[in-house]
Amino acid sequence: MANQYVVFQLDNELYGVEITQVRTIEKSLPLTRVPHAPNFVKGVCNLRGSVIPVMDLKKRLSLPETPDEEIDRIMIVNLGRFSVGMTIDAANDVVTIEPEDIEPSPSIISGINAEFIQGVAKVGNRLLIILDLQKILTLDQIDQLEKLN
Amino acid sequence: MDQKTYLPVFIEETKENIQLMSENLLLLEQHPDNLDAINTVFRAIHTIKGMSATMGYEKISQIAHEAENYLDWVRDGKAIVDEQVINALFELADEIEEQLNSLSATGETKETDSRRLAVLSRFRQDNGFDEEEELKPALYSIRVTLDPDCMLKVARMLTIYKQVGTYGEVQQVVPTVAEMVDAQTADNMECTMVTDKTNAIRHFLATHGDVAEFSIDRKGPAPSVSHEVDAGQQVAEAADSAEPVEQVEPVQQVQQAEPQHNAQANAAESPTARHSPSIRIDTEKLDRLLNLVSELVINKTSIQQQASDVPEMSEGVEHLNRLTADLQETVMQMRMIPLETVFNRFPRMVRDTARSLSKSVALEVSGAATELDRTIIDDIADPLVHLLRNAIDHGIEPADRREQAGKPETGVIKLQAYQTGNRVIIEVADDGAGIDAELVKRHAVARGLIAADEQDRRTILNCIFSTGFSTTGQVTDLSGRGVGLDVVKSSIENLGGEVEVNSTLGKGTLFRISLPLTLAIIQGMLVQCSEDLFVIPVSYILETEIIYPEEIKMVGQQRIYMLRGKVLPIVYLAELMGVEDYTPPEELSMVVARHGERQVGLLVDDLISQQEIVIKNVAWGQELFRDFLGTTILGDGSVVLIIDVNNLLAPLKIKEVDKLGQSVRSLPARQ
Amino acid sequence: MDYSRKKRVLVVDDAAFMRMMIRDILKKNNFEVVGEAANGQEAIAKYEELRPDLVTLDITMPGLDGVTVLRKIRERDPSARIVMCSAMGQQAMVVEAIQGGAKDFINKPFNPQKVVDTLRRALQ
Repeated sequence: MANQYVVFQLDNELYGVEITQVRTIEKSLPLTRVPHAPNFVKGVCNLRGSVIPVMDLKKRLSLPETPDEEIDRIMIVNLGRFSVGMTIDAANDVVTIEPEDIEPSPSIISGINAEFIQGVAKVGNRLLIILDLQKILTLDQIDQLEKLN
Repeated sequence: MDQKTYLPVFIEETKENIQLMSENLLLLEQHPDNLDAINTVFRAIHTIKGMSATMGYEKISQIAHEAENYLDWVRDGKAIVDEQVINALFELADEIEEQLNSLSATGETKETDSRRLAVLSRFRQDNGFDEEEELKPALYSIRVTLDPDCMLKVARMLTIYKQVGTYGEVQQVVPTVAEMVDAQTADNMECTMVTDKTNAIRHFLATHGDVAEFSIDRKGPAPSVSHEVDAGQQVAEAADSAEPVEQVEPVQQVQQAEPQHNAQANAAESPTARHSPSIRIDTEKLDRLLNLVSELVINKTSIQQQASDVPEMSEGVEHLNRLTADLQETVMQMRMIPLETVFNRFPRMVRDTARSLSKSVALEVSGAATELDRTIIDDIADPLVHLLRNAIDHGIEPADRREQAGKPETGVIKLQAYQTGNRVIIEVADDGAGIDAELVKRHAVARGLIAADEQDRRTILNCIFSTGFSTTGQVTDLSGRGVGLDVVKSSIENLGGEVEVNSTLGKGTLFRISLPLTLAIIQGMLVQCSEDLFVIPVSYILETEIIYPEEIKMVGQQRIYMLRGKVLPIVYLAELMGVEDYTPPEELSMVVARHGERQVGLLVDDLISQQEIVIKNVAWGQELFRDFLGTTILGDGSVVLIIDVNNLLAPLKIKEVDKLGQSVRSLPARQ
Repeated sequence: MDYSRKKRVLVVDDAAFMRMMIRDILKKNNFEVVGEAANGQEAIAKYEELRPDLVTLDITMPGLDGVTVLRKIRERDPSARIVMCSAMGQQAMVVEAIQGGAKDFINKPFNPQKVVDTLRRALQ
């Protein structure tokens, strides 16, 4: 069965996550920093009475840093019992992709930890990188990352 | 009015009765001739039988029936209670519990484990009870058809069923009461029962104007329950004597005849008998209520701030303040439940564990009435089970070793709970082998957990909570106390609690858990520190003080402050929070905080206010928030982190300062 | 049954007409109506005061309904013998009352013979 994906932009690449995992996309919310957290944790925010952690997706994906750190949008994703925010540049679209059109992630996508990628799909003439939120949000990954640092 | 409505109540009450049964079986194990205990077990099982028959759960009522029969012989002095019998009764209690679990999970009873039922049947045969059929009650099938003109047939059939039931012991009723209620009508009923009062039944039915037809047929001798599957067959083919409903009466007579036992028996009737009138509330609703109150508290704080400039509002705000506080207190009270609900299952667990290890262990429980917030109660059971198992498995020595050590053969584990201030302490103490601090130290030093010259006994012993401490083969030599203790520690810490261990080699081990009474709302001090705001829970705060940078002294690497002639180690909170290039203001605020048994001065830029703080937990990434108890939302909507003083200060090795402090103190004290 | 003494009955119904009917039926059949109550509160008070052998209790009354009154009386005296009076279509409440300890019930409109049978049965 075909799935719908929310397409968003990060630097100049297009990324997609399954629409069922996206709760809302918010304009930037005031953040409170969390001391001692890994650098990809941008802080926590108040989303209508719930406190939700916000992740800097660029840092999480180890993308090169861009000078302007202004947050455009926070995409709130749901996974299991919890919600996590992720900073994105802009959300563009929702597209439908047939499962067979998703190809396994090639190792050529420079810079991104291939583990976080579920696959790639062609949307028009552009490549959409479909993210594996489960892996991105799994904390033993974070532990490993911390150990590396 | 359908069966589903009763099911939760049925399950809960049956569980309470199983609990009652277990408690008294344990008592019987100690004192096999304790008549009160036998009677209590009997009553519990009788109630289970009655309720499950009414609900139409034959499998459960049959199991209960089996247990009841045996106990009846015991009460008549025809059978004895020995270890085997108690084990068999425990098995039946387990079987009923599994049936209940199956009911809650699937809505259906499961296949009865026939081996469990077989045990008691065999005792009965061994004891030759099957021949002893000297009582007259027999199994009858009673069929009733109502007059077609009868009104409110369900209610009518129910009164008939109830009346017939008083003449004997109902084994099965078709349709069940619930089925009748569901069907909204009831023309016929067949009741299978053990009775010796067929004349009375005949008279009752014959003179009843609403009964069109009835029959009373003898099906066979009064049955015992066998372990075959089919209920009907079972009832028919079983052959044994059983005394029906009047069985309950001797119990009451015993109580009346022996008033001195009365109080005990009543006390043993817990947990159902002791409760004040109560209703059951869905815990989700309770959680929601708490959330609403939390929102209200946040809102109140916000209104309070805005109204502080408007004198006309002060009275109203004050009233709002009091009401909110009362409401909050009441809701928190509603959420408090006694530890008993957790402790209750331990005697059985300890008994079984000890038995499986062929050890003799007595569990002494005290303070079970101590209350804690429901959320904490839910999560404290597992760590406690772990500590108790460890105490039995690794703490209490085998009998021969105890004898060599000159200890009584039976090991003692004391489980004690009590409240102190706004915390609850739970202690698990055993009189077992204790922990060899030297071995722990060697092990901990090898793993780099402590310095080789570490002397503090407590620090050394508490290494056993470290992650991975126990994963090497050496642990068995350390009486294995490390197994999974890191998990115990982290679960307790997740509840805002602390755990520590003390032990004397050869004498025993004590685990002390300290838990907050409630989790959700605390008093907190809002502090400013560079550009950040933080909350320090008031429970950590001993006092606050204004100090000036020039009063700060250095001893080695450690900043100190002389507070009333005593050395107080101090730290800049901003530095702990990773603020780079921090410049302290000219006037600092110092929060003197409790850190374990020590005191530490936390320096902040400003104290903003003391207020009620509603803790909001962040569902994801607990590991990232290790230094924080949680977060809170202020009146203006901003999020502030609540500092966990102990975790935040733990890596600083403040203890070093104690030694330094001593050296400073040995110098002429000057202020 | 013990006929040596007339059985003492408390009649509870909010409708004076129904109370009168029951009273007449009972009198003709050798019962003694020791008291009447028109609502739940009064019923509970009268029960305490009179300790009758039997109560006929209307199931629908303004204020405290019959099932609640039943519970309250049985809390005070677990051996209380109570017969509910109900109309058609109140089966659920009657079932509830019986499970709550009511001995029996009679339905409106009353059939005098059935009322007497029911009360005698309840007194057995």
